[in-house]
Amino acid sequence: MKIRQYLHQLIQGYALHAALAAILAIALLTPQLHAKPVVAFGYLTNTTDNQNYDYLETIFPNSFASSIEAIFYSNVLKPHRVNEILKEKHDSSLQKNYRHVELPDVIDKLNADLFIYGNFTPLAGNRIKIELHLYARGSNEIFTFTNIGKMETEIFKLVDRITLIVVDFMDADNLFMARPIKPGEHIGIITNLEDLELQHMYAAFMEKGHPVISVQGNEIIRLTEDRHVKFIDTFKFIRTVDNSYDTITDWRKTELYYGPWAGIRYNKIRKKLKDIYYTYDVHYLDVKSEIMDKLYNAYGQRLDILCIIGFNEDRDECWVRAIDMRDKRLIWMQSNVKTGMLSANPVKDITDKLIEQMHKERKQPFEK
Amino acid sequence: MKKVYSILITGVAVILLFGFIAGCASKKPVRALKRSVSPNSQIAVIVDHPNNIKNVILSRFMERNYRVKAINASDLYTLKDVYDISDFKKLAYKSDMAPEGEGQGDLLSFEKSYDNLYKLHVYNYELNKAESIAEMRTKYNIQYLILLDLKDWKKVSWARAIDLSSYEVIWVENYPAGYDDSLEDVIDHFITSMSGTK
Repeated sequence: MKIRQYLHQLIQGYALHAALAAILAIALLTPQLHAKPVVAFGYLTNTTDNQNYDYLETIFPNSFASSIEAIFYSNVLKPHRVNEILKEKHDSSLQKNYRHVELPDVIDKLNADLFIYGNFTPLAGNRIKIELHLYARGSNEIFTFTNIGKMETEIFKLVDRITLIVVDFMDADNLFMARPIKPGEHIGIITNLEDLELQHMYAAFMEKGHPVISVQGNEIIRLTEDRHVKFIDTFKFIRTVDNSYDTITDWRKTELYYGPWAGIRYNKIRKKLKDIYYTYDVHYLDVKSEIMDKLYNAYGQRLDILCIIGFNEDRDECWVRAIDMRDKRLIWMQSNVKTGMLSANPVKDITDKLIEQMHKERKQPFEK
Repeated sequence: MKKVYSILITGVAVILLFGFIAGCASKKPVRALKRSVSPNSQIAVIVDHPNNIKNVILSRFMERNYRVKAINASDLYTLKDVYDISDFKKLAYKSDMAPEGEGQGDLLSFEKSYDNLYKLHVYNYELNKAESIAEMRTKYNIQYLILLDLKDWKKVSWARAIDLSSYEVIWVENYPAGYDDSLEDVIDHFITSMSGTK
């Protein structure tokens, strides 16, 4: 089943999730038959000048590595070992920070399946901000999340909290839930449903105590229809403040040519092309945040959560991304939300499942 | 052999049955009412039907004492004639510009920029609509926006009301019209339902 899912996702170009599903599948299969997936850890860099925290740069990843190894059938490479491999075999060393475009090369050198690295920032009030990046080999996609919480005196509690997020994401439905979405919070929905199906979805949210803001619902026909392009699938990848699930593009490979033969007109066009790339990729988050701010204000600051929900053609499976419009962060991401084959009303059943999931407070299963 | 056939036939029957049940699901009536829209409210009715049908619809609302503003009723064209935003999606690019194995990085950058451009377009489009419905409230003093999509007999008509003071969807209903329902009956049903008198 897992392998089928992997192939399905691979075909859909949903590569990081597919790669993670494959890692999970291997972890669940008979140990004797398959090599253990390798999870490599980089440093968690201290972003402050306070050197008193530097010791955590390796303690954190070492602890995460031990915690993951205890749960998953996997081999972990801790930063010290990663550094040794890079030095011995590739005449380089483990860096404190990597640009996303460098990750495919690093993971190939380590011959690992998953590379996890990040940074931390101690905050006032005995709190800590941890940012982790997960990159699966061959996926060309990166998942980044930020967790702000109490700086526990017992470090294992903090490690368990972060491990839970990583483990959830590595699971079949690739769940990421920064916080529950409570009844009463106003929801706006962008989806590929329309007409009667959209009514079923709206009714389900309204009945479960969520005021529905009329995003997309203020028109009779969904004008952004998907006859030519599966428009909703482009929203699977989402870049927001702190948390993102995005593809890696290597701008070093994009070369715009010019020379002494180029006239003013040519250079103007070249500049415009460069501006397009900068606006729609390099500075995409800034441009998008500005639009999100306007959208939030246009709805009288009542739109608390913007949910983007994509259904398959049979309407028996969907994925969801939810943005908290107040701080414009991705707070919920989930894939492969399915209904049973016997469902008489898949859209309603799936919506009920989504609502149940969004209300859930994630419990810490490792609590000692 | 008989057993195999019987299993196959049963399987096909089960699949057809569930297909039928699933097909029926969307035809089921649905109604959720958060707040009623009382008579004397100022409303705009958005429908996409010929003007003679539109007049019948508006007259039913007027007879029930709703104050119908001339949004969507002030023109001679239907929505479909005016908007053709879907053309934007026909913007295309070819993936075979680069030779096999070369230039894939460039292509990925381009695809991503294209996808991002499209995503921003959708967000901007929603923003544009939000600003327009805000104007309906401020400029035309409309309290509620009513959307209606009427279908033929046997099919399901639906309606939705948006409170423009909060931008909330406050009422949704899917209504399967019976053979004995006239156009007036269907509209009256919706008006009764949204006014909370049902």
